[in-house]
Amino acid sequence: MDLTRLAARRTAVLAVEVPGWSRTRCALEQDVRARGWRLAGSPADADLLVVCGRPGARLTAAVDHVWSQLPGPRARAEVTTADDVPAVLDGAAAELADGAAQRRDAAGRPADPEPGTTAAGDDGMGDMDMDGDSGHSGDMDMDDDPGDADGDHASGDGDMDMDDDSGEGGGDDSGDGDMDMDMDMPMPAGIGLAGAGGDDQLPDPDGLDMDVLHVPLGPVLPHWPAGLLLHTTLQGDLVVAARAEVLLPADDAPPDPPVHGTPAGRWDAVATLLVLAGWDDAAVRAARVRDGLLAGGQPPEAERLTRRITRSRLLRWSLRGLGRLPEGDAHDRLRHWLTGTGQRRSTELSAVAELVTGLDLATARLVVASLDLDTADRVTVPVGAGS
Amino acid sequence: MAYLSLAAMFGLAVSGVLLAYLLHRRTAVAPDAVASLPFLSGWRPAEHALSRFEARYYPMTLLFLAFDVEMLYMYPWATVVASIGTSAIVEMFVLLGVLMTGVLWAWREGALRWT
Repeated sequence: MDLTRLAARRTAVLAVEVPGWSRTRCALEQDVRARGWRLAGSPADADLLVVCGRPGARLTAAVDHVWSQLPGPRARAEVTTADDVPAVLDGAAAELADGAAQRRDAAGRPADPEPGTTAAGDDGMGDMDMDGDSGHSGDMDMDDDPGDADGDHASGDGDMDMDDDSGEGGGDDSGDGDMDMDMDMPMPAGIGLAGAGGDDQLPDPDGLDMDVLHVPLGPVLPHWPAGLLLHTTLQGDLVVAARAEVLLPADDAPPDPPVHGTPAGRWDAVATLLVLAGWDDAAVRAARVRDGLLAGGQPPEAERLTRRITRSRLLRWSLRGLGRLPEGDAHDRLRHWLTGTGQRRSTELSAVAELVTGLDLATARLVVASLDLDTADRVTVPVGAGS
Repeated sequence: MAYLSLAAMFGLAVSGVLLAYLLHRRTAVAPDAVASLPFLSGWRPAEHALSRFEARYYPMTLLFLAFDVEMLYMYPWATVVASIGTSAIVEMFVLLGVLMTGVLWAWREGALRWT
């Protein structure tokens, strides 16, 4: 079967960046493009999972969960310096084309999906204690009160224990909880259904309360700041509350200098924002300019591309008024990146959460991309009790 | 004889589907699909994806269908009711009564209550 060899020529790569390894990620993207491969948007779309850097414990857990979601043939690699990228990708390509090993890997996979852990670090009940106070600035402890918002859920059937590590999570729904009447929430596959209510519920004038959903954005998400985890509470597709934190790397010693704050870093931010705004062509060109700058050159097409991007009316309409800060909105920041006139300033995580609250998901992603957060460069600020 | 060509086409279609299925079973690294939870940036979903599908629309849809079927029968009925006379009117109103029973039942079950 040489189908695998044929398919490996168009490998889809899901890149995960650890805070501090932006340089490695840029090198990876460049190499992927040079090979004629492509970047994947989700694990179902990916053949190869590449972690850029050394992730810390929680980041590793998220990456492992995504790894369990990759359909075979699949390969996984970790790369820590920009120079290692070509060798690592060669190895991964060989691994993907190795049919016998892929069959062994596929045969050894469990029949039930990996349960994983919820982003809130709770017991998998999705309870409503995600209080929207975004007063955490990067501290890691979760205020996870075990008391549920709506009475007790202990319905007394034994096979519904909520431990994440009990291997529950699909398949056997034998005797599940829809049968007893005091269970107010059926649990398909051990995951509860959303309901209205909780602290973040917006009152509806018509009395048609919408379900409240808790959706984590990041850390494994293309075109997203490295290691950023944004806990969002959604109603429909509106973010009604948010809280941001940064998942840390294992050790604070990335070998390569960061691209943030350099001209290449600005073009990287431009490329990310353009992809999310839906202008793939210009985004790829911006990424090429970035790669040229990283290689130490002065790409001649930067001038023309700058003119083309600033001229675009559609982009101006898309970005105007998003993520208003004292010094301007998303489009102003994009212009500053292009002209190199921007000032580096620190953004508090709580400010990020406030900016995306009240927007729909797509707009929230644009706003986060327009902030060009450098998650590797963190300062812990004390937070007052009342904030 | 006409049915022979029909059977041949049917056989061709079925064998094509079977062939594609067998090809998949032979060439995939594992014949069965991988079971995985939805992709949520590497976390377990806090709420089931089923939540996105609002179940309250479906009773409403059934109610709409009840009225819709009434209309469907009433178009042809309206063209002949004058020539047939009383019996047609009685029959139609029996049908309306049957469908209205369903509507009343759905009403009692709370299909029209949103919350």
